[in-house]
Amino acid sequence: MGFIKGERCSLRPSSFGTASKLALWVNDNEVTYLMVTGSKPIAYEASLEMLRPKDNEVLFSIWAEEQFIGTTGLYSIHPIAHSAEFRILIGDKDFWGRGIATECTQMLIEYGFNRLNLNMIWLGVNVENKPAIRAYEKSGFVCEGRLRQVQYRNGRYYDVLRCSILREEWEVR
Amino acid sequence: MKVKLAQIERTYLLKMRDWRNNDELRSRTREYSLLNMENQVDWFEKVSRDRNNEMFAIHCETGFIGVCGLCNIDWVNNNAEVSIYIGSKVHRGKGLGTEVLRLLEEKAFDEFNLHKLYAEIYSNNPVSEALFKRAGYKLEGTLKDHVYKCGEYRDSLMYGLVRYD
Repeated sequence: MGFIKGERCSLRPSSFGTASKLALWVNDNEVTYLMVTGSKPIAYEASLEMLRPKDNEVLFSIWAEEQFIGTTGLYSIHPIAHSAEFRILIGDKDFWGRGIATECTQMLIEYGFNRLNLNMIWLGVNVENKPAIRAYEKSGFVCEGRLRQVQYRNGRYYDVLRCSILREEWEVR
Repeated sequence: MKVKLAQIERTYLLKMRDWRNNDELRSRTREYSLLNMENQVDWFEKVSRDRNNEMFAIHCETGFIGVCGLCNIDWVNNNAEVSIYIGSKVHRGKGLGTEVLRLLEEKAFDEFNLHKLYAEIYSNNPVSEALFKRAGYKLEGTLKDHVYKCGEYRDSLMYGLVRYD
């Protein structure tokens, strides 16, 4: 089952039924260690809001081995520029390091260009989040800038890499 | 004569209602029931909040003379329907429609990044048909006896313009 099926995982519609798990993850410092999310505690009710897509968003839940393991989606979809922001969270630690993020990134890129007719997809990632950067680069994202000291976590400032992939690059992949 | 596209204000609605209730205009548009002010205000409030319908007032030196817009904008397929009417009779037949269409195309392609525009023209409206043909729109299809206007079935002519053609 799944709206989009991959080899390692599948993407289903974002659903409120997953909120209690999501609330655990976004309050787990090990999960959010290098993320923007997680500086403040997030109540169950607020995690429901995170699962409700706004007009300019498409949200998915990530499922593997019949378990809900994370969320991903395209945010801030701009109807004129045909751009969107990609975000992903693998909350279930049993599934870290198994290529799930890479596969999701590729599925979302394909979905954004093929189904939503986007022209550019971008993302921001903490420079120290090496596994994430590797997954994004493997999927075709190109680093286009470094936002200096833009994030504050764990008692210090971090730089954030701004990456993007263009439709024309994806077409000749 | 120069025309400009401007925002539609609430104070224009009375004039619009009268234009849209005019028999001659109704014979060439989708309108078939008579509109009262409440209908007109409903339309205004809906369109003011709707990002998929961008409507404009047509202005010339003498003021507000008609309405036009990009309707049913589809942001994934990147197309929209063109709608134009010059309500003020004395301003018809002066080439203003051509000028308005050019301004709408500028909005559609340069500002909204659309790919295609289309128009549905009834077969009893040769003036509009000539206008769109002159502007480079191609007849893509004819829907036979698609509408009933002035006591007869009329064809719907579908005209389209693709940005890079």
